[in-house]
Amino acid sequence: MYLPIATVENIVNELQKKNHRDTVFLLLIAENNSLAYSDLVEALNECQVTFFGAIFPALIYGNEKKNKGVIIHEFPKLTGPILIEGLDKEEFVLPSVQFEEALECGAKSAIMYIDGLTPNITPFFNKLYDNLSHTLDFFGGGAGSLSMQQQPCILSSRGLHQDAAIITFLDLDLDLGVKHGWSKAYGPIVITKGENNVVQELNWENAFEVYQRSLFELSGERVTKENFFETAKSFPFGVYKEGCEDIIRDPVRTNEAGDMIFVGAIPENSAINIMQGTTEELLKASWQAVEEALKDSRPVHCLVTDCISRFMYMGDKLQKELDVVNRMVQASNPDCILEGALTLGEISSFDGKYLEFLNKSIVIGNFYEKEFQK
Amino acid sequence: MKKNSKSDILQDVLLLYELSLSIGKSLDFYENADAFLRTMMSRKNLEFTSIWVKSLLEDKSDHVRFYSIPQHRPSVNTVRLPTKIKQCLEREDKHPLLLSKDSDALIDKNIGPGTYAYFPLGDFGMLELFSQHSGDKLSAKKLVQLEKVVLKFGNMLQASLLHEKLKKEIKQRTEAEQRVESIARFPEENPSPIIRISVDYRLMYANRSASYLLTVFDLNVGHRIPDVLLNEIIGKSNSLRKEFEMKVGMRYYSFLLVEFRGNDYMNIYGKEITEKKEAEISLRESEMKYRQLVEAANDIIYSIDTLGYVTYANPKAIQTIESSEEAIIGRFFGELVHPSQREEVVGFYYKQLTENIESTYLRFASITDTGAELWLAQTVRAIVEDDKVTGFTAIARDVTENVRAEQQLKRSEEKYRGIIENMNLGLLEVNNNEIINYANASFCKITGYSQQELIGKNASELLLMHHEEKKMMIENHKLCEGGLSNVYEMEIKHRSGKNVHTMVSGAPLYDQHGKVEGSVGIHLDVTDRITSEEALRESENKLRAVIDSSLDAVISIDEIGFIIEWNRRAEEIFGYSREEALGREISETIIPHKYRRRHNLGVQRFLNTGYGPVLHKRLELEALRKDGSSFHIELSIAPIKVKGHYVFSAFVRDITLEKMGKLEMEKALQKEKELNELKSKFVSMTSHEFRTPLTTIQANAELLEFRLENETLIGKDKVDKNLQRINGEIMRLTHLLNDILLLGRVEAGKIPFNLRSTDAVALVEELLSQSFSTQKDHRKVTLTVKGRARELLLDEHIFSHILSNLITNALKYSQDRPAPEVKIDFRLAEVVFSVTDYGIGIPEDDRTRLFDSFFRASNVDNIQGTGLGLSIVKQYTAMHKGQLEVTSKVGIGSTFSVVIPY
Repeated sequence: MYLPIATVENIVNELQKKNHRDTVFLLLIAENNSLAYSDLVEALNECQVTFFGAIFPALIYGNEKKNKGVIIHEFPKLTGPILIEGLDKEEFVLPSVQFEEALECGAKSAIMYIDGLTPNITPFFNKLYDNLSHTLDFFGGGAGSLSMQQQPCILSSRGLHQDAAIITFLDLDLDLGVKHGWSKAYGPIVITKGENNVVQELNWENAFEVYQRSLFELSGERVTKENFFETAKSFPFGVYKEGCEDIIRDPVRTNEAGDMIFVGAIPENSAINIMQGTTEELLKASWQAVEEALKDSRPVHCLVTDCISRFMYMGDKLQKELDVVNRMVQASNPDCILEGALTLGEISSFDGKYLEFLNKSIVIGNFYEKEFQK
Repeated sequence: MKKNSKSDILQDVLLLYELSLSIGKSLDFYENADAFLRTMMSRKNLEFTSIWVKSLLEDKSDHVRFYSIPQHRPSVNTVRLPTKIKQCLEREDKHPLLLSKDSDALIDKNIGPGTYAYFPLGDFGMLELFSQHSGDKLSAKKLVQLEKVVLKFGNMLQASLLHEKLKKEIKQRTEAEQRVESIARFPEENPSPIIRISVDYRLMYANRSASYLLTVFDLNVGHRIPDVLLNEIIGKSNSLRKEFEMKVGMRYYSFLLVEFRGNDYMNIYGKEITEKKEAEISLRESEMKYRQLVEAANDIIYSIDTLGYVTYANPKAIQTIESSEEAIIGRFFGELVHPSQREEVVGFYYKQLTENIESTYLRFASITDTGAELWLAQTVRAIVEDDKVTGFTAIARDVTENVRAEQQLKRSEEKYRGIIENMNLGLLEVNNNEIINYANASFCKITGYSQQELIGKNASELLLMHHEEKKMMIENHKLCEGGLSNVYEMEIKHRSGKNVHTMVSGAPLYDQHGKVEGSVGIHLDVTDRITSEEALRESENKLRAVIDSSLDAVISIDEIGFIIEWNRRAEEIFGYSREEALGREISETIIPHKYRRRHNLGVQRFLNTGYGPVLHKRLELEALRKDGSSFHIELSIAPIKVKGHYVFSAFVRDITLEKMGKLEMEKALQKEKELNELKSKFVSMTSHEFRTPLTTIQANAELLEFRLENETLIGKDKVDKNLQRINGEIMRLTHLLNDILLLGRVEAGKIPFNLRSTDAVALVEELLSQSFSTQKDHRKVTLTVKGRARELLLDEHIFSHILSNLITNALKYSQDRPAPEVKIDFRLAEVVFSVTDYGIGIPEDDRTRLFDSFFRASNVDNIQGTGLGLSIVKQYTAMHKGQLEVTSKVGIGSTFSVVIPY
């Protein structure tokens, strides 16, 4: 359900109408609003509503991109949402006992939203994978602001949090479709110096200079520190992954020293390629993603996370992507409406594979009960 | 076989490069293993990796270090070496081993089928890789490529283990050194004083905590210890351990002297006990104070043992009992109680002892040694030591004066109570000749006569008017003469002539010799009660007339279920006459057999709990006539409480005819509903079946269009045109099917509808900005708001659909004309949303059918549409309890208005 005008009263009224005893509510909130979050949390707690959510640059409802408002999605409750805080510190702790409890309750899948600009996403995912993700599938994305300035964006019953992630386990099966459609255009290049999401050297030279030179060679375009984001959004990095699409890493800015800063970590010594895409390949990828997610089951709860930088690259063509995806969903089940957000990074653990934080990708999550299996 | 491209080879080389550099970033075993395995997992997209390594540290030789990603449950670091792994480690061939069957896996991890690869790590370990998908990732060729990197990884792990061993040894040595040092420093750092003296009683050593002792004793190493300490040491027994306490300066110490025979010294271990000592002193002082308080108390305080003998008495107790301390101590407490209450009081306190009652209060009479009687109020509390009652403490107070005052008061109360209680009753004394001797003020008030007017008159003549009363008076008088009393009601004459009803209690009046000299009557005026009874009787008669003429049957039952009211209409409906029905059980009379138990339980539950869910409601039930036939009735039941008991009254109506009519109508409606559902199901199914292939056609057509976008083809223009035509037709068909499906759902009532308070202006602004801000012909739809805006009860989703459809129509039917306008007019009782266009308009003849499904105006020409949009809008408006209106002029334009009442 989409509420165009997000006020505490509207949201609370809406949730109170529903059977909130056996339901967990997902709130996807567009950043462009004037919600008093502490009031919202207090009011929802007073009504004893179980909820979790996050703030995003924009929302997706059906085939429309919404810059305002809130999407409310109901899931049958299995256990309460689990908040993990302190991801800015290396010694963050996973609530293993709660995870065990969720698995014992019969969790089959999980939705996770994470502060997309928190620094320790990769170590967090490593721990999470070791603990859980080989036993169930994850769907989710990175929350935050289009301004790329870090701010509190994860919503829990304790308030609004920064450097945090929230996970809700569900007793629903999950079919995932994940694709990006970008292809290798230049490389490989080795990351010879870097840490976490900062790349300092490429092929033993200053990272920005190598990137600048490579782009000029590849496309004739001259990337400068001033037009960096505008140009670089069309030429992301691809980290090699044997037997499937490379993992895309999105360069978002450069600094005085010529370091390149990315959304998501790139390991030192890894080999990357500079990637290029065409609108048609990207659209084809979204078509393949939705087809993959819907091939074995009718959608009941169909969520999408679509990368904000993918949207910035595609511009008006995003409408076509949403048309394609929504049409496929509606053809499969006219009562199911596609809901989701434009995110700062995407999350998908598909088929027990290693959990990675993705960029510039589209992830379709089709949550369903066994009876909806085709 | 697939030939590897140059790029693939380069990629493999770079992967090996990355893997080799991930090794050795740390000397820690697990960090090393983690970095390598994670890189392997991520780059090669594997599902499981693990290592088994014989440790240099583990005590058991058959145990290995185990580390895996993801972590294997339960998460353990050391495991017994699996036999298969052991055999694999011991084999001569040190090349990697590739296994493709799950059953061949060296360790069963239940992770499904796939390919397993095992690399020996020197002769001390094994690396396992697993991929769910067989294929290139773990091919023999790839394993060969990885061999050297894995070897390097193995070497690094061995180095890590050596490093760990070294670290452990250093740690163990450091800990041992610290322990030695700590033992050596023990006496010096002990928080209690320790001093050592030689056999000739000279100080040899004193630790830091003994500095206070040395200062007070003015003692230094080599000095002889002071006499005060020496006396304590020498004065003790010959035991090797001697304990003593002493005060040193302002502090108290407990000392333990330990002689070390065979050595030339002895140690004295001190422990400061100042706090404990001061507490003891404080307790003693407190006890002293308490005793002084008890002695000076103004209350009697004494103690007895469990046998009841006095063990202590304070001066006040001795003074009150007028005794002496010698005489009172050792006396049985019962002797102090007045003989009249002794047994009772002793029993009371015996009970306190035997039943372990902690505290009691009692007031009793006591007797002093001089024989005086006095009253004591006494609280007795048990003295408990080690969970055992060892005696009692009594605190008593002399309350003799209070008791006497109370007794006096009680006597006075009794005396006057009779007078006060009879003040409102009329009293009349007559002699044996019925001559009035006395009448009190109340009697005068009842009759209206003064005392002077009454006294000396014949009571019967003056006050009685009927023969019956006079007769009753004579009989009563006779009873009184025989010494008997009587109570009766009678009517007497008021001075004004009106009747006064009184209740009379007559009794004989005796003279000083005991002879009946007349009678006395106490009169209570009951005129009001009699009058209300008469009024009630009259009212009942009227009510009965109403009930009898009622069109409904009126039936009342009592709590047991017996019929106590049965009107004329009940006789007609059920066939029982009033006489037949009254006194029968209702459940045996008109309630069908299958409902009787439920009826009885319901009545019983209401009487027990007050809960009666069917009361005061209109119910439709079956009932029985006298001839045994059943029929439908409508009834409502009301419980009425009369004198503490319930009466249930029911109003019953025969609805046999209405019921039959309703059943017929329901049947007809059900038939119509089934037909409608069949229609909706058919439409929905057909539309759905069309839509799935349509979606596939459209997706493929779009993909074809994207692919051809950058291609140069001969006749591409024509292909593009064909594609556009296909897309256009698909869109049109899709819209049509969507509308049919939507209409079907609306008609079937399957559209979720949630009204909530909405800022209507913000909603319309949002809609215009989201959906109508960029038109191909650059027209901009404007919004005007009139009146004072207020929030409305709307379903945002459905209302957005209404306006969206009207605005889309306005744009569609007004191409090349000025832009449509949206207006919101907040009126007194309603709000009007209007969409005005300057387009082709609607012919007058078409307007009546404009909202019918599939109807399109005759002047639409080639403008595409399904003819369903306005039909849906009409139904959506109705869901909001609103009206959809249209005004139009051909060639000038149209205005569609949605009127929503507040």
